[in-house]
Amino acid sequence: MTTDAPRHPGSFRHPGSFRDPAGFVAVRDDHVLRVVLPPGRDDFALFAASPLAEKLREKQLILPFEEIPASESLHPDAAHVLRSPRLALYSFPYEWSVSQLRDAALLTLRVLRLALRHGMTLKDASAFNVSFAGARPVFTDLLSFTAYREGEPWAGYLQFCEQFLVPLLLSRRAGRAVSDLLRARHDGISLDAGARLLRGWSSLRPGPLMHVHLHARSIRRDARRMRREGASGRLAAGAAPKQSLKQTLALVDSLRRTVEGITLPGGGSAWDRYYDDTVYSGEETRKKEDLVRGWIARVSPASVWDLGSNTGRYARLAADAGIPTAAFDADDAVVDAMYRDARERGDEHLTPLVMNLANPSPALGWAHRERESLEARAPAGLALYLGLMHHLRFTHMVPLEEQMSFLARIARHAIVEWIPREDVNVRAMTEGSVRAGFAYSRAGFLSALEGRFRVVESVVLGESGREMVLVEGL
Amino acid sequence: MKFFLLYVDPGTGSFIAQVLIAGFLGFLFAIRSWLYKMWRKVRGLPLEDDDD
Repeated sequence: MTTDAPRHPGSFRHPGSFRDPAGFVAVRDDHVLRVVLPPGRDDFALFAASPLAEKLREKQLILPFEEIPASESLHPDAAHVLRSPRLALYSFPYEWSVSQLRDAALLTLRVLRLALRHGMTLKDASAFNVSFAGARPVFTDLLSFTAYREGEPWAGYLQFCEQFLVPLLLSRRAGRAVSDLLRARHDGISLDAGARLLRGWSSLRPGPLMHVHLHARSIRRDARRMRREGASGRLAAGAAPKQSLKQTLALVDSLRRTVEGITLPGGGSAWDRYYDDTVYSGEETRKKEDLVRGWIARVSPASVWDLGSNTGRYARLAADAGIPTAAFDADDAVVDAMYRDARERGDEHLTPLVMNLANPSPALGWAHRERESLEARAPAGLALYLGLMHHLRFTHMVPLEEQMSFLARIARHAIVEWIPREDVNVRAMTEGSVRAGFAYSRAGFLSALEGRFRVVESVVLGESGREMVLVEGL
Repeated sequence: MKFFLLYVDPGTGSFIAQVLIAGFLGFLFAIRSWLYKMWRKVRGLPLEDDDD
């Protein structure tokens, strides 16, 4: 993970952590630190002393944390320092399937409701405050808790609508394209755009009608008023509208019902058309599984990334061994099905994510460093590169040299599957096509490994000629 | 209200909408809970309080 140039000796503020005056996040090899600064001191003290923190921890709704002695080396004004374990991969909302986005939305509302019942509130509703620990969404921004003041509306309402509600409502029509939209508009889809895009059926339902359409209308009307009246049109602090706690709770419940009432695009059928493996013999598949399981145990990595996981069959081997595992697939429907399955099983280690390796998450936000690219969040202890090379070679035209070069940048070890040109799946992709002429050979694969990886072991699976290769980065 | 603590600034238009919507929802909620309480009282059931 990249770190900022130190402002103070030994400081390592995360470059994306600059908005909140209450504190910042710093990332170390195996843990994450949250440094509370003087503006956030009182709120944190209130949070830590209230039963809320314990309740959230007990219910596993927040990232576990422990307070460690505040060190001047982190920041001269550090008031508190909180340490949490690092996740396999801190994922972002545009890497989630729709069910993950819905669950993150519901988590945010649940955390907010509990906070309100304990005299606190959330000062924002950024979807980036949530990430996934295994298949469970966790609220990670411990500095988001602030004292609730009687009469104040919820400051995160608009942000919640733009980052969660509108994208979820749009998913009914746009399906998987919603994660692409969220990548382009990482701070959410503006309510104005959302209201225009959702015109029609959704405006007839009470939830979207209130929280999107009337809300957007009020904002447009106010913008017109501000243009007319200038800065004097701003409400003075004393004249700010009041809202009781009961009203805020009613608002939160309405948002929850609205989110729960959204019919998400289905994806069950995607399970059927997957598994390239089905064309191979059961024996070969078992051998492949045994090899992967054995090599995972041998490498014993801190994290595993399965770079083209399909339904997550091999990623699960790592997760079942208790290793934090991220399973990537480009197909939102497959990821969604994998997530729902992992969630139902209560999987503590497997995090399915939408990621197209041919176009992985870029660096986004301020100065290209606020939301890190996939590569900047590397390296994984071990990457699974199974049944992937020929897809990238023949569908996306990525040469083997390029593939191994990227793999070496994002993983310390890798299990790579070599599938020969004569293989039935490769033939199906190339026969009768210009692709048949693309350079693709075992010699070319081994030469692409040179200078990047050392081959630890390689095993031919059987008659199909597929070969499993365990490599270690140089 | 201390606006300076809100580092996301939703603007007045959003606040006005929220206060109106929450007011309306709060009103509905109050009616519903009153009816619910009455119903439990009539049946002689204890009142529940769940904070989650």
